[in-house]
Amino acid sequence: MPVFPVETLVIANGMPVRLVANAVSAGFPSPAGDDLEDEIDPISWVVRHPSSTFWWRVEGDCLWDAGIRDGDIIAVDRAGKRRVGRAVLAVVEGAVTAKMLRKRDGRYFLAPANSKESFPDIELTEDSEIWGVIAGVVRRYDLE
Amino acid sequence: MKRPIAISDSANFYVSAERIFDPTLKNVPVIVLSNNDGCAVARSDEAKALGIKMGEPLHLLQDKIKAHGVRVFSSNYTLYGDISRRVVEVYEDFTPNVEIYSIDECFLDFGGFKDRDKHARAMRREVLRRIGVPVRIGIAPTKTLAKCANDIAKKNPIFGGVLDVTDDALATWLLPMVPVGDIWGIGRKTDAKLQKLGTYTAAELRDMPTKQARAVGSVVLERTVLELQGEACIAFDDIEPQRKGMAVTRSAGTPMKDFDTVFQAVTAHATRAAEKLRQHGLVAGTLTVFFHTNRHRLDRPQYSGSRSTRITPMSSDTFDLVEAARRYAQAAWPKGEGQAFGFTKAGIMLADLIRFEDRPLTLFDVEKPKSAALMSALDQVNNRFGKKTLVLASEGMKRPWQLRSDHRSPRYTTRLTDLPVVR
Repeated sequence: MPVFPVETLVIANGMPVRLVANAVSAGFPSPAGDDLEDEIDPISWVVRHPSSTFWWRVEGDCLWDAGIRDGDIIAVDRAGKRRVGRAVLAVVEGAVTAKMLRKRDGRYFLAPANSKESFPDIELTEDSEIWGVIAGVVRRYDLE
Repeated sequence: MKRPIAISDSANFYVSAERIFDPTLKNVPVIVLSNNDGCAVARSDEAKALGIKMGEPLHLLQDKIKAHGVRVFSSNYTLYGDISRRVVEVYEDFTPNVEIYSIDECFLDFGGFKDRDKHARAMRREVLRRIGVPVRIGIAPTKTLAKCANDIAKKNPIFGGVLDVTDDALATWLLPMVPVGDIWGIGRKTDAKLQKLGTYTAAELRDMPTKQARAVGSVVLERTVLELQGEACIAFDDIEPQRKGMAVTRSAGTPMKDFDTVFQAVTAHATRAAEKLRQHGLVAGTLTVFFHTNRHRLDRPQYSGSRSTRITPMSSDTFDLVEAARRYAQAAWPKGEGQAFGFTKAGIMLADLIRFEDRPLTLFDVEKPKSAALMSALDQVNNRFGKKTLVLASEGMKRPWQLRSDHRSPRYTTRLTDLPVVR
């Protein structure tokens, strides 16, 4: 049955009648209605703890082998568990750096992940601090 | 057993927020300036140690800044607001009842927790771990005592950031060491009056007869005395009190000379106020528009204009509010000699706020369905593409009235273009 929108005010006893604003479905219900789901949201898949996750922009390729490149945006979770083999953000001598957390001979190192270029390992001392653990990476490519 | 109340807040919150993304700020003196870069409103401990006072004007600080390499920041409220929101999220993992008191202070319901001290320490650790902001926590049976405990915990590192004075013996031991002027709700005038009467400490005020307290400083002081005795008079709000009014007002970076510039600022403030109304599902019944010259520059011609009006029907529509603000700003504009004044502040205040559903319907209610759709489109665009993507043209494009903030740090957490960089 066709539905005609009411274009002009409906007057009853000299008073305008308020019309229900919601659309009322009167025909055959949409067969997809029950199967609707939320949109896919990869960001919520990356961000496990919204309150402790902060976004950073990467400059340089020292984590290339870990799939993180110059210009990428990374999510860093301050509450992430510091584990050997994970990519972390660390504060060394007042500068923030993105490195892999490694362990050799009982000592911890901040190591690059780039087999093409060489970056020095930095030993983790009491003065350096791990800012957070990299939780994911977002990259986009040119379209135009 | 009385219900324990905790208050958690960060010493030097703005400085702590700046330090999250800039490790070079660690262990160096840092100050954050007020709106318009006027004076210091937050100081790191190192800055306090240099003798920089709260509210000290920037121009008087130049020598110290140069001599000690003090790092200076304009207030970055976007950043502080986001960090504050995150801190509250952590609190919410530790108690079902959080009452936000200010951008850096929350009252927390600590009723029902067995080991309060341990609980508070875990919460403090978690805020530091997840957000990177150090907080101190005071716990007591009343808000006033909790504020005292928080204050003591802040000033004395031996407590490790947490002080629980729900135990009467501990309160009895501590209160003689708290100056009366440091108590929550005691202003400078009351402080002076109390000192004259020989009441110098929180313990002495607690022992003041309530009748005398009422005579000295009205019911407010009487309530403070009762609170110090451990009787909760200032309720823990389970529900946020409904807003009764709001104001959007800013100082201008450069004095505004003509009506158009003042009206651009007024448009921006009215737009913001309307947005806030819609966010809270409220409509306003009264609007006040005002602008004035710098009251501290007596060498310049002074003028202050203000007009209030009723808004009928009550509204949260940007166009309605801007239109009303324009009409009444024009009415308040100085006759003939407008050019002689340099206006440094303009704003609008809204009062008589009620929920949209409760608004009185006028007899000849003009339905404006298009306007409602327009407003929701406006809000959606500005939410999705960033504040001020869509503005009324009367706000202007150059915005010379905008605040001065020469030293603002990036909006690290809310803008893609401002993300912190890691190399």
